[in-house]
Amino acid sequence: MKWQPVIGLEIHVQLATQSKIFSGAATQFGAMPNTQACAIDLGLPGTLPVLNEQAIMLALRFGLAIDAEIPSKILFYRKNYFYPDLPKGYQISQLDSPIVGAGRIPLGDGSGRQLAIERAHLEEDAGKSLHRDMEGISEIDLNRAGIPLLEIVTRPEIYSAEEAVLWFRRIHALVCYLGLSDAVMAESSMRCDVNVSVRPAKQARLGERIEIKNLNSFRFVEQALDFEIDRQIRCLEEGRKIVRETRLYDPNERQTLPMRSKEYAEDYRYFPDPDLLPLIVKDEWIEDIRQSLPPLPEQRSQSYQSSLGLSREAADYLCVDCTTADYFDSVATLSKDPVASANWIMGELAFANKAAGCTLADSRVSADALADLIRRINDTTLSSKMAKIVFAALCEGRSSSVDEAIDALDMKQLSDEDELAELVTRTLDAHPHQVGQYRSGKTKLLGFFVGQIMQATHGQANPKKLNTLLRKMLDKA
Amino acid sequence: MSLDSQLLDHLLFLSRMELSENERKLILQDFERTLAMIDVMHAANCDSVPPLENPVSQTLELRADEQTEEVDREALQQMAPEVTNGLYRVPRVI
Repeated sequence: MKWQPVIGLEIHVQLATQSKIFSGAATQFGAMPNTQACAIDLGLPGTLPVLNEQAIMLALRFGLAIDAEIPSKILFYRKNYFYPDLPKGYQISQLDSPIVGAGRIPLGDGSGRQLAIERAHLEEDAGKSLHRDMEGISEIDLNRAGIPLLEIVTRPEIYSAEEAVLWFRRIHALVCYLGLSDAVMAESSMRCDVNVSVRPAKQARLGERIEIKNLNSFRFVEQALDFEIDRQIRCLEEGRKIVRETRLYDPNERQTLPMRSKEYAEDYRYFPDPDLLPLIVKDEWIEDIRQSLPPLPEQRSQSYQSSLGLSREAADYLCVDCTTADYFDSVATLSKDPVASANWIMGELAFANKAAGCTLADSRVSADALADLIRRINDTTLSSKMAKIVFAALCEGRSSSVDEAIDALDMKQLSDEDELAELVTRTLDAHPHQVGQYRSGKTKLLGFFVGQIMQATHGQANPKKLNTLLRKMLDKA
Repeated sequence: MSLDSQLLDHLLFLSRMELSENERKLILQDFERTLAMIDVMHAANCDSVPPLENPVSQTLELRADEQTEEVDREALQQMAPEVTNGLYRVPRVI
């Protein structure tokens, strides 16, 4: 029998706020355990949650970017369950009237394919449980408790593990692009639960679904789904039933295993949080956010291709996040050479940043400096080779501007035609034998003359002009 | 609605509680009475009454995204039964 897997994703994104969703505690990753969990995060009696404005704005930003329905009023609920990393005994979350309703995300590959988003709701993150080698003991760090999470829920309209990864990547890119989160999966800033079932290929009714929780890499999503789809098909073909359960993926054994017995939706006893009034979404918030939304990656990429003549690969690379696209815009506008700008950003600059362990945002080479460098290549002050040396000086912080580096390195390309003509005359006079050979047909000797002049000028002669001039003077007689 | 022993087991699991046989009998009686009261409430005709989300007709006030809380970990952890190296220790839960 032919089977069809059906997959839905629940993606948790930690929003990039300075403070927690309901308290003024810090949100920095990597702080000493429990130094960022205040009385509100610990759920101590007498404390009350106060909602963080920025968490609302970032969630709305996502909603508007995917053209979702935004309700005029949003509600917070208590989701009740007991677990040691949830000090209050409930998580403040949303049920009815989530901040982001149904929307769509385009794949952005020019195919026109879209993925339906069912909803995205705000909630507080739980703490972190550590299960180290201590008999009978788990340890709890509550620094993460209360960090704002946006949970993005897709419709179950994904039909393979490969496709699931494709969409997860797409949502990851959009989250980065919109500046909602740093989305570093190794730090759990973005993680994914998948719901997967299988059914006979021609059957409309969905099979019983399994949830796999806490997948924090694209690779694990694919591996976990591959294993689970295969397991479910084997199970059904052997005449056994799939039992609804939550499983965890073990990357070492490359298999999914049943998780602790876990509550299901009806067990959470959701009810509106009496500590939080309904929030009326103001029209001016929507308008302000709409105005501040950058052009979305696929629109921007298409405009780079059609208006600036970039290849699809280059345009997509530059649109991977807003910082890169904005940087490119500045360099391309200032240098008036979009293709060279794209090549430098994707090539030398990406390589240098990777080597230095920095990002574009904290790179030593500003957009102004890179544009200057490209201008200096285009006005023939620098050869490509020289430009790389000047670029290295900028990267290493030895010079603060291109012109300063050119002076400091004595790197000016010799482009003055009179000076070059004099050099050519002197070189030809010094090598009459080779001149004779050239003129009798051995034109490959042009390289010999270029080499002589480059040696004499320490590589600073403008190669294009030199070649033209040499040819002209050698062919003259 | 009535409460049977199986449903009580499930509720005890959700509450992470254990009860003796005697306590189970008592709580089942309590629940039966509570549910009977809820049945009476359900019988009231509320078709024309919109659901009440909150009795206060105000909107939520928002807070600026600023770090305002300094955490005194030592003071907060004094109330915890067991702490090591700043981490709360609990019975193993995996």
